Amino acid sequence: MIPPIVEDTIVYSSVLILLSLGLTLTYMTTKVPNFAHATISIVGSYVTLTVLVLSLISLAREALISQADSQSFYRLIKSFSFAPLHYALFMALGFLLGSLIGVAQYKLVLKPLSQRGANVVQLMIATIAVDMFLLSMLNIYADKLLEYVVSKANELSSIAGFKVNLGVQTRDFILYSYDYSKTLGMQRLVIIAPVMAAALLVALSLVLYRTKLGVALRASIENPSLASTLGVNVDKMYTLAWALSLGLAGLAGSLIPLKYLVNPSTGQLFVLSIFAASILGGLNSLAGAVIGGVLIACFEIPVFNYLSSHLGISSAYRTVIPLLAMALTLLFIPRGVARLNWKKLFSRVRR
Amino acid sequence: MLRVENLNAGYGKLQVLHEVSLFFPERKISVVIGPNGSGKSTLLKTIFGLTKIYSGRIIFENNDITSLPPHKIASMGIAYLPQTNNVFENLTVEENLRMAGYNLSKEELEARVASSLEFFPQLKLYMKRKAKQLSGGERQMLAIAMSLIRKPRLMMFDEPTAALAPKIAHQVLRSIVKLRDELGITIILVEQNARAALEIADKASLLVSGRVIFDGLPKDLLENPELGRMYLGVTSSQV
Repeated sequence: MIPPIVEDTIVYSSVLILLSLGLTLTYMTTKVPNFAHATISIVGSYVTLTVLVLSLISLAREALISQADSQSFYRLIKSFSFAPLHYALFMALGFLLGSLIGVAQYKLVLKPLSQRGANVVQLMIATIAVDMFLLSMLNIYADKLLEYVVSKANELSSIAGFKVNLGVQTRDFILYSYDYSKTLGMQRLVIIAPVMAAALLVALSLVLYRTKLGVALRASIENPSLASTLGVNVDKMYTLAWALSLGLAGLAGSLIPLKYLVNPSTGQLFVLSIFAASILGGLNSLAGAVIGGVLIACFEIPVFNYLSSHLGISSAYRTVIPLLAMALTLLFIPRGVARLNWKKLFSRVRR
Repeated sequence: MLRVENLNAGYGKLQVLHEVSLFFPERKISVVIGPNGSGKSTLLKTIFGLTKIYSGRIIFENNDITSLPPHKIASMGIAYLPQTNNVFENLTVEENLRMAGYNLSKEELEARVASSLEFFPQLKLYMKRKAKQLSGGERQMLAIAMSLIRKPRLMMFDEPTAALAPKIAHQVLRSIVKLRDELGITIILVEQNARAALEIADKASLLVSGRVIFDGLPKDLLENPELGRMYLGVTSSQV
């Protein structure tokens, strides 16, 4: 059995790695911190919820066709848990939808504004506007999804002859029970999240360092004007970077409701930690984003837990951790942990 | 080869080039010189689609390339080597060379990297080294080698000898002459070191405040006492 605090740290750091990797990649291309990043990840959370809703409706219909009574019907619904196909589906759809939103954000908002000479602050404000727009869309979607669930439940009730309740909420929902494996004695997410983070990290590294496309992307990030003189379509590369980054956000978001309570504004709780992880990593380094993600997760969960149990600090102050990490990083190591000269640092400590 | 007609261009609202008309002949080295801020670098950037063109035309081998995006101009056989940042510092020498042949097939890229390295054999020693670890001269050579991979018919150099030791600067200029003589590439060379550039040039143009003051043979420019004294820091007796 893995202690819950370790499980929590593993899942949280995996999600943060995926989110901060994406944020760092978009920052490296357009030099704009994307404040909509976390909310885009919550789009992925609603993808997972939608997959659950559709699966439950299909399961309920099948149960009613086979003339299940009220007791066996609810037993079946309550025992539903995600199958490997469900995980693959919501992660893939989360990635795809995140990518599409990322491309739209770059092509329809940031690129036209840049071409009109908008500066970084104006572009940053534009990302806040995108965040607010997406938040509104998520709120509308949550309401519409609930309406859909209620209408389907009514439809099923008329077939069943008893009141059908699918037990689905579209705000403040957590899908923990659908992810719990009795065989493993824990959530599957504890395995899936780090495996996905590691696999995507390896895949991203292979793409960036071993493929022609990846080298072109790195070249376009480092020196866009030179890359274009060599025949690289830099705009295409930036579009790819935004698609990849927000795809990772969507995928990470699709895992969030398996462990955490989600509503349309949950992204705002994550945004501080994502920025802290990226800044701690140096904002210009993908390796740094990974280190930053792990460090922030460790500070926010085991370290904070230790502090709160020994010093009696309320968990409401947990958000101070990423804020503090950001402030200290910008003050003392503005280039982030990835660019620290560890050799020099160790020799200084030894002295 | 390349003709610029009544070109007015600049950056946003700042106009740098005024009614510039020039012709750059095939398989020749055309040198563009002038004092600081005269618009020499802007001329190259404009040809390569990196500035705003208000009016005028740029014709390359009978194709109008005015305001085409840089990657399209590059694909037509024009290479541009900026004064600085002309290699990807965080990429290895090998990756830089591969980037240069981004649109080529794998086999063709291998062949062109090999022939480009024959031109600069010393680069073979540093294939796995990051470009930021190379010396100034080696970086220039890498930049030229990268351009060669695209088999350009026209190469534009923006002050390739800037910040180089005189001996290395001389080597770089000799390489440019070799490009014309051995590969038949047309060269447009923007240089601060006017005398050294005019020594290797077939044609010379003098830009002052974004306008063409002289366009003709290098010998005639050097022999023009007024222009030589005012803009080149040479007198006819030095020729």
